[in-house]
Amino acid sequence: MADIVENRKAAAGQPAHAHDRRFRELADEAPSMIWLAGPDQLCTYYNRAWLEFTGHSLAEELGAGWEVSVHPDDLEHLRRTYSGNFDKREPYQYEYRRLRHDGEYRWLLGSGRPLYSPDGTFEGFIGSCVDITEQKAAQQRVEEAEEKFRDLLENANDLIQSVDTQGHILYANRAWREALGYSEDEVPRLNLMQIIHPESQAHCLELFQRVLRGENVGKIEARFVTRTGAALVVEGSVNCRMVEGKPHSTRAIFRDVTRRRLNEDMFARQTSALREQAELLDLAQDAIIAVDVDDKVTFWNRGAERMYGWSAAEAHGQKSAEILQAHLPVPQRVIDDTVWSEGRWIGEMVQVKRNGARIVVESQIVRKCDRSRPAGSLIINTDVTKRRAAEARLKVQYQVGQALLQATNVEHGLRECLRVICQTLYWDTADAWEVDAEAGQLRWIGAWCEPQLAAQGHPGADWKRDFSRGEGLPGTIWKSGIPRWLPEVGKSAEFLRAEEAERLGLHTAFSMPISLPDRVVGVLCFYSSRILPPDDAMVSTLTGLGNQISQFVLRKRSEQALNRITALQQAILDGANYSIISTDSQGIIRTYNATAERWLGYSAEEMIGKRSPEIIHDLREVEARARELSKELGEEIHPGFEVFVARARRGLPYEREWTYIAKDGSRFPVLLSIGILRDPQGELSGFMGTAIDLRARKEADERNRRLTQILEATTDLVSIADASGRLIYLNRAGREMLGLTPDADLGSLTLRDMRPVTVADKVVNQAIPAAIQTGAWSGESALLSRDGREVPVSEVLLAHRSPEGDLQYFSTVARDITDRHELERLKDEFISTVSHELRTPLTSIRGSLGLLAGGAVGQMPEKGQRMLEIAVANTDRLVRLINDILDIERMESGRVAMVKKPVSAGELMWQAAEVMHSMAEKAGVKLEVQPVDAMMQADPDRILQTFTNLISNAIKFSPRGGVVRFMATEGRDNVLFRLADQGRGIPEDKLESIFGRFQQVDTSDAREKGGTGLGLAICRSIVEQHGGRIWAESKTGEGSTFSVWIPMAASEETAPVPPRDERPGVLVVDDEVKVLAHLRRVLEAKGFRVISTTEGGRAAELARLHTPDAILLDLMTPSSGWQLMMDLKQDPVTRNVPVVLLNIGAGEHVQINDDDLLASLQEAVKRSPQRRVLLVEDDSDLARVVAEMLLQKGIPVMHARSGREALELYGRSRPDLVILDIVMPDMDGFQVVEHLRENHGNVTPPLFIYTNLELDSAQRERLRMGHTEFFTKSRISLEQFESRVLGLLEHMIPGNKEEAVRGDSTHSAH
Amino acid sequence: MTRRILLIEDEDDIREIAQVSLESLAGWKAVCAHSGREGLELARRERPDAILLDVMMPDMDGPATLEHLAADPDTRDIPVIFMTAKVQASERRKLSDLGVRGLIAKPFDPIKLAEEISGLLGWGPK
Repeated sequence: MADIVENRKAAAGQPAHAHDRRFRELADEAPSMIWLAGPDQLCTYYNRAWLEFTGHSLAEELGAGWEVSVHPDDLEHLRRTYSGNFDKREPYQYEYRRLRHDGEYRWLLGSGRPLYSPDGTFEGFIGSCVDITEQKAAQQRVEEAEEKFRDLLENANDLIQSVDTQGHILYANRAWREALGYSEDEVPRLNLMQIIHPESQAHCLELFQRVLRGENVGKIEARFVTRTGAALVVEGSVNCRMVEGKPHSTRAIFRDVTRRRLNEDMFARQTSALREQAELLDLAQDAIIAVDVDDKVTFWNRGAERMYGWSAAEAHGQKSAEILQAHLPVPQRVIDDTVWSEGRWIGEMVQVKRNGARIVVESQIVRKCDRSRPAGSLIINTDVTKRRAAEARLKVQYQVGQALLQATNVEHGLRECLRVICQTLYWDTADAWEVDAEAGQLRWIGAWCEPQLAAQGHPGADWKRDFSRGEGLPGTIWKSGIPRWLPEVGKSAEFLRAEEAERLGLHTAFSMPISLPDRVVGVLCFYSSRILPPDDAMVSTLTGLGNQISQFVLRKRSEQALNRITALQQAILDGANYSIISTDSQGIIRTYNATAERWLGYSAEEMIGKRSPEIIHDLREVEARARELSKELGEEIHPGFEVFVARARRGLPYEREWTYIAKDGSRFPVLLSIGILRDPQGELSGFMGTAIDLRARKEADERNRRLTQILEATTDLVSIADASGRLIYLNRAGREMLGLTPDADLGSLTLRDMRPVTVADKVVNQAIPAAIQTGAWSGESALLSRDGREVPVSEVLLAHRSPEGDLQYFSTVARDITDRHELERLKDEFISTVSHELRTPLTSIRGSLGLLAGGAVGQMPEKGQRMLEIAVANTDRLVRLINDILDIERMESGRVAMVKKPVSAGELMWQAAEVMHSMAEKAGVKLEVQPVDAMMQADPDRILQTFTNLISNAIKFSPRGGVVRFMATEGRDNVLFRLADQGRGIPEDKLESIFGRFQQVDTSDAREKGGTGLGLAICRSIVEQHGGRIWAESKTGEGSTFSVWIPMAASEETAPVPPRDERPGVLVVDDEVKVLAHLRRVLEAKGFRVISTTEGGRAAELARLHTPDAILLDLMTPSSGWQLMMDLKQDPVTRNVPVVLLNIGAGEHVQINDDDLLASLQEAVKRSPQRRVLLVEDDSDLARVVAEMLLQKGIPVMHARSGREALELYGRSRPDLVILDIVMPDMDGFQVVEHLRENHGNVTPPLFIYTNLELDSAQRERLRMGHTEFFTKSRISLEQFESRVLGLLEHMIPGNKEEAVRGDSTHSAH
Repeated sequence: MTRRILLIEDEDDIREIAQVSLESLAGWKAVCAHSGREGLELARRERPDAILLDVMMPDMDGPATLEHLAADPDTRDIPVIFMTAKVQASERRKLSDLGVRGLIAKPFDPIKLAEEISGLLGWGPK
């Protein structure tokens, strides 16, 4: 330090040129770092210490080189300080960090000050730096230690203060501040005398002086005053802190003893007052009683004598509890505890006078102490009976009034009255009777009793009895109409239930009538377990209530009578699915039923008496109707309420469609009819409007319209007939088939009439009964056209029943099969011809060549022989080719029926192996068979053909010495055959195409291997007709495996549903396996994902489950096609899935125009609104709400509860929209997005982030993936969110998903 | 032992090939008819050991001819074998059910024709 000073002096002492040699010598010797800067702020010199510190050369540091090693956090501020002070020519000091040559940042205390030449010219700055790193560390340690200590003080429960010798408060801890009510900031401005109670100041000042003198003052007590002026008594100790032998400050620690002292003071004051005022006590109105520790009375003033009727002499020595018979509000123990701990207890209790009357007293019990030992209590009781009685009367009146108001019926109301009265007026139990005038009986209605009595089984069967007039106490009251008080029922002959009363310990009874001016309608009776003298106040209170109660009974009874009617009306009003709104003649709403509330969103309360129905109408509609009506009625009807009632007023029926507008602004159509209300005198008193919601009807109409459109478009006849067989609907195709004009009346036509005579009986005697019995009939029949032409048809007839099982109607679908017969004949002929015509020349060629080659006409030269063999081999191949072509042609045209029967899969495998054994042997290939022991439903010849074909291929393509393995495994309901060879394998791109016609891996194969190129196509055809699948797997060079999957019950298509991918899904429903197989192939080739089923019954479920983009349906699917259509159209999930009807000519004869079909499917898929939403949300309640909401709109929602599940579902189902929450248990939204981005790249669906979190822009950026929108749950209502989801999905055009995905711009919405 | 076979076949070429096959290779005797009607006559007259009957013939086809053969006490015991170009199992079954001893598919291998006939009729090697 001294050096720095020296250096500064040295520097300052330099007159004109500070950096001359002498200065530098001095400066370089200095241990601290020194610099000089010119007036331009650039440094011109650094001393050795500086350069050693930084490790830089002078040249490096010159100018602004010093900045390089300043800590980046400090640099900016240092620069400002430096140049700021430079400009102002002011000295500065600044702590900052600078990098030392060894790479460590050190804290430096830098300082600078201006330098002037003797003539006053500003020459720049000189400055120095000292390393203060160690100092700072030490300082910090001290601060930390202090901090810890302060923490301890702060958190102590005692009041801790430190005061300097002038009485300024240096420190006060939290407890102190809280107790005195000062904030931390205020404490330093406080003086000790401000917080000391004026009474205590002199004493405290003296103590303070003594403490400062170093005296030990021991435990002290002081009275503080809080900020709000309250007194605070503290107890504690004070000492003095001496610094350098002088008192520096006092430190004190106190405990708040205010409460304790107050109690002590109060008691002291009270006892002294007592002593002084002993005389006065006797004059007091209040009872003043002193008791000893055993509760024995030691003092009993005049007031007590007057109050209780006991003299002081009688009371002395008695226990107060016994003499006063107090009915305590809380247990005695609680009172004792309170008196002891707090000095006194104040409360109210019921006591009993000498004469048995009850009085209510306000009691004050004060602890008596004798040199701090308990010496008993002082009791001061004030009689508040009258006050309380008046209060109780009011209270009981109010409560009874409330009870009666809320009572639903007489019984309930009376029971509530009894309860209220007993609880308020201290009766133990009570019961009520009602006069049943017809039966001449007092009918027992109900009772209320204390829980203890109820525990004893009260009221028992004996108690709950009826009385006749004049019988017993109630009967007497009924007869006389005058209340009676029986202090002891046991002593009264008129009390008939004395025995039961005795058992229950009931003594006093009070009974009173509930009467109207002219008659008694009921009787109430109250009982007490005490013997009570008649109490006039009680009697007047209770009889006053009687009036109130009788009014209630009368009102309720007449209401009940009325209610019998109005309940029915109300039920009709509220239960009805009509909104019913009535108005007075002026149009003000008078009734407004629950349905109206539900539909319109306005409550009855909002509407009744306040509004006119116009509020729920469309003004423009009202105006239009007004014009209409004006014209019709020939007088002007103003747009307003009159529009609704104008016709009704004129006695004209008025029913028409209107639009209702609900409170939320939504509109819906209703059918409203208006009627007139009349009062009993027949005067018009108002109007009643009954409206039916047409939404459902409109929706159903719309649904029907769509359904009808489809039906009208099909080429099959579709008709519906009522239960008697009369047609009620016939579609266009049907009319055409029957030769009917589009507007022809169906009324006269029956299911029987539309048949030729030959078929009519069959329909009536077989088809209809079968349909009625089993629900469906299908078979071939015929229709009779108007022009007498018979149309052969294949027909399905269904009988539809109501849920109760009643036959409701029939429907029939009939397909014209005229063409089919002709076509079948032609095809048969053609095939026969081809077969014959081709074979005949071939037979000759093959025969002649065979003879030649066989040497039948002499030996050939070797070359000629070779040529002949080639000719023979190729003729054979040609024959096989023709055979195969015919085979596959017949098979795929469906003309070859599979003859299925139960066969052993293992057996078939062995047979196939046996057939192929010799071929394998010849080729040097080993054929291994691992059969399975399973039965399946199959055509054995065809399956054998398939197996031999596959084995033959395998052998052909195996190298000599190779192994062909033929294996099978049995599944739950299928058998999987596998044929593995070790051949050259099949390239991946050929795995599928080899099953096509003339598709070989290598075109030379046909020649070399002698195949026709049709073998696998035939295999596939056979397998598909068994409802199975065939496919190949291979790795080039490692052989191939052909798999054949055959369902055990081959009659139905149980092919697995392919996983969802980006392809549009089509659900194909047809009972014909071969049609399904064909369609599957055609559609899959065109890029559809095919879900198929033969069972119409399963189709609805599949549609619901897999939400295809379109459904391809053959209405002829027996017993279900038609039903299925209706099912699909009724389910909100499938309602909007377009249905394309299959028109395939004829059942067994597949004639599908694939191009047309594809065109309509593609059209349908484009129209399909079927969009799936993946909802990722761990709150399952919220998820359910969102899912339900979207499902209502026909949008299926897949719900993932965690990030992991979300990724799995995403992979499986390719949703059209992902709704993603951020906070989830296993994997958060960020991670989910990362995964999706990594694994699915750019082709991701739109993403809605739906979270509680407020996301910043960086987080949003991380979450952005394609089209992304952000929603904060707290800021967007569920409805708004829903409309965003719907809006987005609506704008996604199928087939254009990619475009929708790319989106225009991402935007965010709150 | 020399077998005598009646060939009833409308196609001259095929008839000739069959004849060559049976006579040149097997050393049998073949009697040829080019229609069903002629075949019936020859059958009655020649009493062959067996008849090889084509199915598809104009006028009177194989099954019709067979019916006549079966109806005639003179010919009904002569075993008949159909020659047919039909490949469908159902068709073949239908033909077999008409009461023939067997079917020979067209085109046939002329080298093995006699062997095939012997097999179907249970004739031992000649």
